[in-house]
Amino acid sequence: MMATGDWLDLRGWVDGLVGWSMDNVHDALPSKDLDLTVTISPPKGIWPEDILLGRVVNLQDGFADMQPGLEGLFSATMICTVVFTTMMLTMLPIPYIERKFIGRLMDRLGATTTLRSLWIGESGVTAGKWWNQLPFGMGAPIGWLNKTLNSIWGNDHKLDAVSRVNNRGYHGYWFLLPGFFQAFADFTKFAGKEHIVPKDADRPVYEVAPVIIISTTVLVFAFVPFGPHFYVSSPELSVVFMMAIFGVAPLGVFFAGWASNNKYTLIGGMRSAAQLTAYEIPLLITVLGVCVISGSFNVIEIVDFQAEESNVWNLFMLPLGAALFLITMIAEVERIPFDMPEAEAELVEGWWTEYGGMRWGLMFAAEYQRCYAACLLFALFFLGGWEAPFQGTMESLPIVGGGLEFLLALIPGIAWVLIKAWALFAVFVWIRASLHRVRTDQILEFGWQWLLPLSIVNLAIAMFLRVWVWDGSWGIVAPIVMILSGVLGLVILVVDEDKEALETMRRPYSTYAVTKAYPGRHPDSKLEDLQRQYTSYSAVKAASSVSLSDTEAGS
Amino acid sequence: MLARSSEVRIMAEMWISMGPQHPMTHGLWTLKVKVDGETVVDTEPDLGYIHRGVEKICEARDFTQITTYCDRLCYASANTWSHSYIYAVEDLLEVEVPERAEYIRLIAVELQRIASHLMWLGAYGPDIGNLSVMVWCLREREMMMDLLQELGGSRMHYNFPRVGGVKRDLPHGFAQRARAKVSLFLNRIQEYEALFDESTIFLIRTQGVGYTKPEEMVNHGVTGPNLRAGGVNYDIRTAHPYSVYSELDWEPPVERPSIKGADCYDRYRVRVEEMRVSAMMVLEALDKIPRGADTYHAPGDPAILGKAPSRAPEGTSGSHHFEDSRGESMFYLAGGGEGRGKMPYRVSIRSPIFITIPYASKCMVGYKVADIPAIMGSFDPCIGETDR
Amino acid sequence: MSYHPHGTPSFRNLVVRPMWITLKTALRTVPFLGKLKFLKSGYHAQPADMLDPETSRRVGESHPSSGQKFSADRETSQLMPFVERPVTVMYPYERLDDLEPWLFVPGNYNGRIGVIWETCTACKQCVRACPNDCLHMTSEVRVNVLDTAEEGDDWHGFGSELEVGGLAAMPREDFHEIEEQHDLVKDHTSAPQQYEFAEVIDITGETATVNWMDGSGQQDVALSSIKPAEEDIVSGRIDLGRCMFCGLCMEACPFESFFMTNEYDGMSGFTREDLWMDADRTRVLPSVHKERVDMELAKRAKKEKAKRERKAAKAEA
Repeated sequence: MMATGDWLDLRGWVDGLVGWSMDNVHDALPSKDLDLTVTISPPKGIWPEDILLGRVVNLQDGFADMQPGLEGLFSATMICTVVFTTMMLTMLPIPYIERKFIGRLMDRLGATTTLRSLWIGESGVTAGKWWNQLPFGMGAPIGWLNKTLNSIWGNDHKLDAVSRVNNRGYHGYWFLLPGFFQAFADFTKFAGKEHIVPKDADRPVYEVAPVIIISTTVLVFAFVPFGPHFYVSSPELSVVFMMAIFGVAPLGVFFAGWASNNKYTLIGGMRSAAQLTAYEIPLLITVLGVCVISGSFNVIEIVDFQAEESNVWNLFMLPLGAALFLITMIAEVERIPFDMPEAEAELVEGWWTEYGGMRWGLMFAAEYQRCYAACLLFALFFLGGWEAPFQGTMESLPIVGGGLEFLLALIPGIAWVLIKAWALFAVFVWIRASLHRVRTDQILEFGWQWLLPLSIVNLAIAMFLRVWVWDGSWGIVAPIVMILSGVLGLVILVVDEDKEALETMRRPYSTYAVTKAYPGRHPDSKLEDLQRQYTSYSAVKAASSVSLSDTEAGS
Repeated sequence: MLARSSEVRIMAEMWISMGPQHPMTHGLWTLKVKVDGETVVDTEPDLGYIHRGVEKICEARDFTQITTYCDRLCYASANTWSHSYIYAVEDLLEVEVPERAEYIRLIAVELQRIASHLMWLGAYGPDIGNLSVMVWCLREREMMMDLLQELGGSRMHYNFPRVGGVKRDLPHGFAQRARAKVSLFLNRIQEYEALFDESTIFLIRTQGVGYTKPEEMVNHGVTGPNLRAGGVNYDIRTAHPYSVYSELDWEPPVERPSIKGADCYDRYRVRVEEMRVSAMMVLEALDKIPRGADTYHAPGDPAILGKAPSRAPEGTSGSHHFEDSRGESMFYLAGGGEGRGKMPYRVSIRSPIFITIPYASKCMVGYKVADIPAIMGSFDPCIGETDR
Repeated sequence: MSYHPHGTPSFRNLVVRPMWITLKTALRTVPFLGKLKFLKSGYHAQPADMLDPETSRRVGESHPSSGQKFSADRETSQLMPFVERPVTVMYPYERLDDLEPWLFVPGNYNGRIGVIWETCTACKQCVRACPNDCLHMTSEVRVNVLDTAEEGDDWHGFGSELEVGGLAAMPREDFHEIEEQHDLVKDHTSAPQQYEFAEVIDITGETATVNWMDGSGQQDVALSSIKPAEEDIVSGRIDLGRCMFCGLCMEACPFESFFMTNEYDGMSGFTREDLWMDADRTRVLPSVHKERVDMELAKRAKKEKAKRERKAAKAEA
């Protein structure tokens, strides 16, 4: 599995470090044979021969036998730790983006608090007004610029108390990113809360549900590569495993909804189970399409395929697949518009209403981790992972290509992956702020009736492209055709407007209430039909036995 | 077909209590729903959680003091309720109101109507799932609250009308600020509409949901925007004109529902159009007000406060039907109470939502649990007036 | 029209329109981009001046609002008046009194009760008008309004005389400074202590022997330096826990002594008794106070003058 080069070679460094330290240990051990044998010469009458106990031990050789295993253990532990820490730290911007961007979209935040320019410090002080130190007053224009920008975008306020409130740097990193560590504060708060179990809750199931959810979510990140050499493990079927483990969490959700002994959570759990199951299948088929087009089930190979071999991001080759992946992932992570299981309007918090303290905190974290995993996977599958946009093209430019290649090599791959993932998360947030909640039966209808056939169509396109069009490269026609078809499809959809429906004010078919609603009339209950005809149990029995004999006679 | 009767069971029908404290119920009342899976089979509303005994309290207050209690009936739409009461008192005491005062009252009432509908819209969005629109509607409502604050002296309970007129005249510069803010608001309505009418998800959530037939509504006594959504052109401001509504050029918005009746979308549409109509009315009233919108009369000036007796002898009674933001509100006052008639003998309040809630609960049967907030929210319940 | 011109379920309405509208809103919060024309929706919007002519005349040209166009929730920066940004007033750190309350909390606001105690005659109209029974009578030592006129004022000399056994009040040295520096927002626990009260023990010639009420003993003071004071029943003790700020008491007062000020601060406490505001906690702005005192003084002194003239005319006749 050759991957594109990147100077941030975590695996190599860790392997090298561990190997070096193991070699040092090996060399430090004594290389001479240690004679640990003991010869017991029993008296001739009891035993004829000498008894040889113990053996010759060579510490160095013994260690050399153990060395590969030890190296594997230590490097795996270190890589796991580093990658896990990276995952957690790079997840911190996710709630930050959510909070700040949604504030903007909802017109709640102002320019003064969030957009802080790098050159502007608190109350106009920036690194001690360094421009004043420049000779001949050369720094004056910089000072003027600083003052101007500070008064427009910065924190200066004529009231000291307001400046103090504006400069909430203690919750951010100095002047940058105020409110960044709110997530830490939140989790500390959750950790300190009491663990309450409802009285009649199904205790074992109640306790195991968050365990399932959080553990399966974190396990996904075992195979998510942040860079070409920045991953925990990369087996051949990593995509299969990731999708499988991603799909276990609905089970935990269902457990949580049932075990809480709460009608609301039960409804929420049912909805969630139905919705997540319904959207697993288009998701898997879409991912299958990506794997087909890339020729492998290994994530790194998929990214390499986009980076090295095809030089076109899968987004452009499979626009339909990308859209499907996006939609199904939003449904999988239960964000608006597919928010029904935890719809605040009816179900308070949905299936996690009864959880408090750290269990809720972990499940809340799990929701954002699944979002993050979804964004990362989208970035890896469709957006070329750790490759810069137009990297191949830029590097092959005639004159500046070499320079660009050098500059691009300076940026580690993880930076691109993260930028793409975070940008995609901003799109998630944007969708959340704009759209309404779709009703559960409409969600299911959408999933089964529309997304499943479309995903199969996408798979067919992927198969067609891989089998008939791919011959070592895409050529020039295929990408252009696919991009144009995607754009054309989008344009057609966007411009679509049913003028006739507007004039006749016709309503969409699926929302017609087919049966009239009035008290006592329940369209789905056959029993009530019967009960309207018969008034007693025996009458019902008699009626059904009549029909039983009918069917017997008929069959 | 049913094979064996011993296995006939009702699957998972359970009563859910959307209890007094619930994010959706727009006030403190209990809605018990019987669900079969996700389908609503039966409902049972339970009112009275914030009954404060306003009608009884008013028997011990004189007519000027009762106005303060009427603001607090429906706190989201305070001006409409205090004006509803004042017209009833003026009917009881047979008082002439100067025309300028009527115009000022109209401006206050219509501004309050806009604010009330904005509050409703700001709560309806999150019910359906859109969180942004709540903040936007409240942002616009702030403008209306500012105007009402200038007029009445506080942001929510203004105690604005007096028997025979109003408390104060339009403040200095009110006309200019009101025109600016109302124009800006008319500007921004388009954006809310974009997030609602031009959002497919909203359309599929509200169209075809919560059908109400107009004849059933008339039989039941539902009035206001809920009735006009059903196609019945009944607006008390045009049907039995009071104040100076007949002098302004306007028309109540009435929907043309489908054959099945009015759904949530129709009720939403009516209220948005009502906001527009009210805004235009305010602008027109500011132009047409006698003696101009920029003249200022001191409080108590006969131009804004007519003479009114303070006692209502025994045997007299007065009532008035008023178009509140939510329907028809009516006050009935019987004179001859304590203080030799200074206080009413009986105050009876008709609340539109008290009449509507049982009907609305009936409407929910047959739809999904997820439709409950959509349907309930579209009727715009305000429990303050329901429980009194 | 009844229906929206684009109100159909379609892909455009599924994704494009809602997301575009929210993005426009977010872009409006960005300083320079926010002013672009295409981000503003077009119809009915006419730019309006921030202040009407009357208020601009009162606040003057140097006020930050001069020259700005009205925008419901934006402020333009000082340096570039055409650059708008959303503004949040950081209450309670940033008080609106600094930013001229008349703009944000208009003069008609039903705020905290303010009473001009000098002019209150304890007629009980306010007590009767209150729907919630939150006003009670107390008594207070004060200087009658007719006695507040200084020598040389128009209405001087119509008040009462100092008597032995009565009360007297001496204005402190920093009489006017106390009044000006009295910060209504923060010093809401007591009134500006402008007078020192004392009991009059003896009057001989031009000096009076007084016993100070703050316990500092007897002292001889010049008669011209003290004014007569009295212990009056006044409408005191407003129970703010019951008050609903309806303003009926203000309208009921026939003597222009009862107001609702613009203040929304200074009314908090930890117990119910803390919310009982006595006379010393219901002061109005010094300028308003002075204005009202002068008005009432003129009114009553005129009446007193007319009464004395009538008495003199009758005595002559």
